[in-house]
Amino acid sequence: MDFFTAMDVSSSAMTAERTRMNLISSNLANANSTKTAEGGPYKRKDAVFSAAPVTESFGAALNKAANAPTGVAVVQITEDQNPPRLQYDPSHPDANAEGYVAYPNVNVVEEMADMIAATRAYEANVTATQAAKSMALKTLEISR
Amino acid sequence: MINTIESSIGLGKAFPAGEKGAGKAAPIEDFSKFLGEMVDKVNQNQQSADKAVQNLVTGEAKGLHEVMIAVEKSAISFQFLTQVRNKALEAYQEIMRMPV
Repeated sequence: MDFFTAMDVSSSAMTAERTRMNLISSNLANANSTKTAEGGPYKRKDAVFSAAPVTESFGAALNKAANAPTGVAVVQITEDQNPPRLQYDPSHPDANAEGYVAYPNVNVVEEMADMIAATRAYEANVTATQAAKSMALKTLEISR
Repeated sequence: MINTIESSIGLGKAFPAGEKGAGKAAPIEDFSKFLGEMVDKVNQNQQSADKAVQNLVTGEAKGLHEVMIAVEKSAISFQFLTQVRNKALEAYQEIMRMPV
């Protein structure tokens, strides 16, 4: 394990948080989309994170398989299966037979809170990268 | 960490465990050889950082953070090369100062 591995782990986390941020933006943009390509209203999307190993040198991976630093990867993007929000509006072009329009199950306040959490997680990983970098540079000062 | 940096930039090859004392000429050519290899590795790091910046502009890179981390890695390895060069220079000057 060296500082470059620490930076790679933080980099994988930043990629994952960026993906989550993209999904949150997509949810916010489509909060009122009543029609999608598959028919039906937009369904809220969410990302599933899982611990994934960061590529290390082969020898190091053999030696410390149990303690290898694990990065994070987005394994799946799920669609929220909660029922859509129904609103009575017979004059809407997407109204069904009873006159109800199905709006997406996106809660804007929840998405804003998720957005703040994703931002803070991203900033935490940037700070971790900076800490690893400053430790590496400090190490070089041994010879000064 | 030093082990991995050393192995990643080829420093370990210049000082094999159990030096065999092959004569006065061998350390000198080892220095130039390993310094050359280190410069090559640092050059590779710099080039991959340049390529990462290019990929970002053309839209192929996975993200801005990948580019920044590649640039930082090349900067760190370059500073490491500078320190090693300073030490090698110091050792050389020390040897030249020895009275014959």
